[in-house]
Amino acid sequence: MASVESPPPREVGSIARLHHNYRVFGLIIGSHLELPELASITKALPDVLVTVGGVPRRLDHPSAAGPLWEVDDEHFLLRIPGVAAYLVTGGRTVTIEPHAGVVPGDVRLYLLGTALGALLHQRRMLPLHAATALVKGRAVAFAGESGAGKSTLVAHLGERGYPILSDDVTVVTLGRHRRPVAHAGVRLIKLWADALQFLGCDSRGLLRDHSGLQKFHLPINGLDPAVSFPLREVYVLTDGPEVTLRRLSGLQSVAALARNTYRLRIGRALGSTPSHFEVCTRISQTASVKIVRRPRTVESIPELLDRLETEWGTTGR
Amino acid sequence: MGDDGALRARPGIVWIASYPRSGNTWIRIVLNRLLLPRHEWQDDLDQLIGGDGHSGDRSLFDGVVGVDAAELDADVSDSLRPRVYETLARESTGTRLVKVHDAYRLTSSGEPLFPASATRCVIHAVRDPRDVAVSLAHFFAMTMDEAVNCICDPKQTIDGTPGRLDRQLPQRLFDWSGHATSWLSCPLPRLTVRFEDMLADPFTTFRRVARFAEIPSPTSHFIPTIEASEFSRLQNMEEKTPLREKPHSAGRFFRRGRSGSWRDALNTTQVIRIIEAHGDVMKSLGYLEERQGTGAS
Repeated sequence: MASVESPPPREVGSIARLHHNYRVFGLIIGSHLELPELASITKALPDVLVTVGGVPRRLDHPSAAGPLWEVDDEHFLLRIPGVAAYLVTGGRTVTIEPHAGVVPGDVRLYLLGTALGALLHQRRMLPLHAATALVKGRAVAFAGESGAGKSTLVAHLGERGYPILSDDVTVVTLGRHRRPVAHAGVRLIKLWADALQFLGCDSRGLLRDHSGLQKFHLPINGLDPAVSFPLREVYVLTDGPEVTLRRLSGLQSVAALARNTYRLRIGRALGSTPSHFEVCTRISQTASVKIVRRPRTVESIPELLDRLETEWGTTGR
Repeated sequence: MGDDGALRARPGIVWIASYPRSGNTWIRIVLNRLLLPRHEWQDDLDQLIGGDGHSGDRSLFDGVVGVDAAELDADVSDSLRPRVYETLARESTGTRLVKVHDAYRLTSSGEPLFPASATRCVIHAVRDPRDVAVSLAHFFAMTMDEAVNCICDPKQTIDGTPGRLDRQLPQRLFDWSGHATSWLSCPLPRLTVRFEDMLADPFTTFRRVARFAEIPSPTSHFIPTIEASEFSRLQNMEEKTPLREKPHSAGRFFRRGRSGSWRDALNTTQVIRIIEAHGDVMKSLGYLEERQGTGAS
């Protein structure tokens, strides 16, 4: 696995100008910008610096590109029309050039989404597209495509008393004995208006995810951001006429995990595939990976969770 | 027998474009069977057509663009859709079928939603809008009036419900004749086929489709394909395994497979409404004879 060094002393000196410190996914972030979505910590030596500054329009020699991004050996460049440009370098620094008059929440949306995803890939930390809760001290991840219902499901688990480790992205690294561990993520769940309603929550007073959308941030509290937990179960959510669970073979598990990697194409362009494959293989060896089919309706959630609680032996908490 | 012919076929996507409930899935089943050797045929419709692209597939967009459509302004994501299709075309080998319910139009940045550079051809399926309305009503559990409203609404869109994240990106349909006209006048290589002709003479109709799509269809393979894809057989298959494409609450994809059943299902007012809104295009597609009038009993 590639190792990523701490910022060189010259950059560390600039911490004095950085006002905010956070921890997410086991990384310490020093930031020019306030990032209320992250767990705040007292000043500490940062692993990653987030600054505001000039960002080039293009990379000189991109090795790969998508409609909104370019990549070379050291850099990931992301341009969001009307919002900001982000340059992510070597898994250590993020420079943001915002457009004039932009809503700060919108700048953070792409910083904590795709830009952070690219950073994780650069650091060879596997980002699964999954929401994760803690069950008896172990991480249980729910993976699936956008709209599959991961956040909604995990929010309901939160309601049933299970601590929530992360929402949209679950970062998995190999800990002691090369056992996969999942790290605490961004401290909020993003839920659409309908899901909020079903949970019985009021959207008033909640930050909107994106200024134009009916998606809101529900804060997660109460979990020490410094901790990580052994990953023991992964459920891959997909559609079906009724609730069924099926365990996958080792090979199928690796494929399912790889498929459910956050920003997979960008990761591939950044060369993270071999490293992530190794982590996916270890997950398939040490955790159970199951496909969950169910109707994509709010009504199916209680049935599925009851079923899972029976499996986990936690019914009637 | 495989997709060998595609090595000589033009590159690019084969768009199967239609207003909903007009034979889109049926065409894809037939073409997928033609592309597969017989021993690989499935009775599971999902496995057969599940690999087809869908122009409104959110995951396709999110995966290619690297930013979720749900995180972008609607006009930004709209303007990026042609890039997604170009990438899909570039990275596909053999024949790539993509289901389209969108009307053909320009994006907010003024370029075609479906780029010529990504296109091999368009198979455009149409159906009598009176039967479309009836089929819509059953499939989406609407009243006939609601279904007629849909096909007469120039702002009709699939998905795009504000309070939740739909599986698909919003797809603008226009009204029934607006949809038809958009494809009839698009600048891409196009074959328009009528659902009624698929029913009445499947061998001739699907042969034209296969040829236009440059999908090899030697008689020895073609005949069993059409026989195995006969409507009632598809109904049986769907009964066993509901299609994943189907919205959760929807009726069957293969419900009745008849043309003209609107006569028993629509009242005079509904029929008049449809003809007033769509009569010109209906006539040009052969759905209105001079003497036919409303056909009401």
